[in-house]
Amino acid sequence: MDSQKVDMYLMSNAKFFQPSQLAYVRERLLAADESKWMYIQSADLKDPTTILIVSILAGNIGIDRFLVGDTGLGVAKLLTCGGFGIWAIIDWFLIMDITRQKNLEKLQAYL
Amino acid sequence: MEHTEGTIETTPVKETKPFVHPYEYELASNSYMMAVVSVIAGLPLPVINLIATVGYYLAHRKSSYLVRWHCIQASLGQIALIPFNSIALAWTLGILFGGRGFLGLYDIPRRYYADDVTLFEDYTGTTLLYWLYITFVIILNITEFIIVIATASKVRKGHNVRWWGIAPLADKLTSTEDRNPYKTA
Repeated sequence: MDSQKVDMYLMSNAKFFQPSQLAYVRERLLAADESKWMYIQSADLKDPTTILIVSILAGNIGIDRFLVGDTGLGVAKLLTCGGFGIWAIIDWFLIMDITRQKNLEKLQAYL
Repeated sequence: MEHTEGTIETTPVKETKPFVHPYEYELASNSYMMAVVSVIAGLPLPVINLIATVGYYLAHRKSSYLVRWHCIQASLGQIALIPFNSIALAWTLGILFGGRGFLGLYDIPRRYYADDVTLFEDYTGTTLLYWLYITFVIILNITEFIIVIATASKVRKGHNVRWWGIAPLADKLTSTEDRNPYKTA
């Protein structure tokens, strides 16, 4: 893909990926076929900050896990009341990274 | 017969320091913060901090060596505290609900069977030894708390803090395998 297009994409979407993975994303986007551009642009990426707010407010009932797509873990978190409070606290620190990881996995499907 | 004279020249191995992304320091620092913040969830239970740090490590199994190493060091630090805290908790519960002596396991107090005593009588299990031990455990925990916070802040700034006695064990336990599935060419 055109490097200018890739850089534009990364400039507007950098916050959705882990900083340490940006080089990888750029490399893969450059190697991707031009025909995939539409799909890549329309990929539904979740905002890590929004998910963090959800995790703080409703982490005890597992809503954050449902939002990022971990339905199984969401149900487990819901049934255990956020892993008796411990899992909910661990997730305050983890959920932003998990969201970024899921975003990369979503993008990966088109690359 | 052929023989070689002089020294054999070997090509020097160029040691390159692995690149550490600044973001990884933040992840590594968070492993220590887990132990501090999890206190909110379960202060009386001595095992909560350990569960939190181990849970954080499990979530970062595929992270870089630096992050995993710090997660393991934080977990080992918590493991070292477990015996002291567990004994303190068991001893306190023993005094509250049981009798006298070590862990309050014998001589059940009168408040459980006599009619002429109030609820607040006969806590003779609280010996000087008990108070000394509880003071020691509280000081130990406060010290650990301060050390963990100081380590978290130093690691975030990029210093590699090694705890005495625990760091060599963390070196041995942490796998050097590169588990990052997203590698650039």
